[in-house]
Amino acid sequence: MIRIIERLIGEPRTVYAHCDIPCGIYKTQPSLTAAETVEMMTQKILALPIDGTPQEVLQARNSFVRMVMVKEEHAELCKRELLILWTDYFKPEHLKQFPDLHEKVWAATKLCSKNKREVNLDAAKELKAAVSEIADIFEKTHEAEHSH
Amino acid sequence: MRFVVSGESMEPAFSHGDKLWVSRLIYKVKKIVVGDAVVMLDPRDSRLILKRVKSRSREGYFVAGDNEKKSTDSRTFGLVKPERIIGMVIFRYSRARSALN
Repeated sequence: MIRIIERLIGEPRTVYAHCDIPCGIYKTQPSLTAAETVEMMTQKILALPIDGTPQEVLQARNSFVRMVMVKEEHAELCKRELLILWTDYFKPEHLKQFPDLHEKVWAATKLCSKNKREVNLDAAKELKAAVSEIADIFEKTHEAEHSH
Repeated sequence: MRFVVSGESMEPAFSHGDKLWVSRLIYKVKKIVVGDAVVMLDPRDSRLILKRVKSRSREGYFVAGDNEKKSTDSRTFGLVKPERIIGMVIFRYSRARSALN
């Protein structure tokens, strides 16, 4: 009956009751991989030979430039992935559960910048630890929401 | 005004495909109160969205989906000004077919 009437008077307008993004596509792996890459590049840069034949020196310079580029790119990627989790995934109820979440994300994203500016293995290790701490928080909140 | 629901953020009250009768005029005679299911303009892009009023403050209304895990609401876009709220759901005149089968 309703369908017949609506065929005459027209279909109703659509009203949206959606989530912006389907659940479950937030992942911590990209930020973890990026942080690990930053650490790996830092190690490699520090291990580059500083002297040798002209050809060896040239080769080392070439590697140096490439490693710095990869370090730069992955530090930026890491920052971006962390900020996506921060702005889009985490919600006020997560903050109640982990009151230092803002502080942790702030510190970790600042470490991304520090790792761009410096070739510093300690900073790279700190970044990796900071990212895995945020990943742990993510997993805990994620589990809680998907366990029932 | 008639609306058809798209999405699951108002489950279990309203499912995807449910058809609703929404009154704009009711807010001429009644205040927006906590618990009202409302059709409103998304503060970010003015799309029509269906949410429930959860609380009220001087700055506006906090709205959320009944199904919080599948909803983007005031937790993301903040408090809503009353002029963004278009009308209140009065009743559901047709259930989604999938719910009947």
